[in-house]
Amino acid sequence: MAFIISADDIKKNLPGYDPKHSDVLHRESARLADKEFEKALKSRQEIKVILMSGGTASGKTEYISAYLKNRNVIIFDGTLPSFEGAKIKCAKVAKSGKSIEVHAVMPISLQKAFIAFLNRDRKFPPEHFFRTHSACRKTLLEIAREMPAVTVRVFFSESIISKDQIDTKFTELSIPNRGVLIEYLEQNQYTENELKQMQGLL
Amino acid sequence: MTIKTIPLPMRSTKETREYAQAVEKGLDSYFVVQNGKGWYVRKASLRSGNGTLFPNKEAAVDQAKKLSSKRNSEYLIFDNTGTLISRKTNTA
Repeated sequence: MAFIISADDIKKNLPGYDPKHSDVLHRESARLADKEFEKALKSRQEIKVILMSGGTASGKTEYISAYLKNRNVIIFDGTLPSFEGAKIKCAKVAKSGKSIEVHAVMPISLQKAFIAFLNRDRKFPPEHFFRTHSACRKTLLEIAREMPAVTVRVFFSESIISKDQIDTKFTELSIPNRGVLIEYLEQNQYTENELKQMQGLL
Repeated sequence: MTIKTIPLPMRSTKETREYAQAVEKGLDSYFVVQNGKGWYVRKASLRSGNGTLFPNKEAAVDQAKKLSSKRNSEYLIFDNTGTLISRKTNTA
């Protein structure tokens, strides 16, 4: 079983947690998740660490539940919003002697991801959606460019809604070399305002 | 750039189903959006640019109320910075 560290899960156990105002305890739960991550690197036996990347409601938790939950790895389930934060985490993993991979989850349809974001139990203001989807892509591109030793895998989530099936499926970006990854990520960078425009909000 | 993707084996979990259910639930909701020309009403599932323009907020909200009521869904009102100002569930 994977050892999963998630700020969203930690938050659920904090006093005063209200899923309708999930943003309120986010800073505190992120701090506690970082602390737990450090502890896990020192105490856990797993030899591989997976850092998740992806905007809120991109399908990260769903991807973990389907493909990683039963693997013998440590997973940090966050959005990976800053390159500085990612560098610190990677350095700590390297120091622990464990190997590291970044798994990024991107929605095929940002429109549907925004709809999922607005309609799930955990509620954040919409700005959180635009901020995290913009920031995680920037971080991922910087990792791809600046940290060649870190394996980056990109997965796409897609919700299937039909008469017979309501579910989420995943595909993986074929990355024959780092150049292809960097080119793909360069072409898929968005500012927060561009994301708002894509949703027809600006 | 042409990208190639590799399908992963379908693995259904409570989380993967709930995510798609959240999308399904929201597809019938309506967005009321302010922009330079006035107030637009569009179904959340439609691409941006598709929608009906109204001269003022009240008219747009009335229409969104009617439409969401028919579908037993909700409507969400955004200001001209993309900030969500309110969301109402089927109040017609």
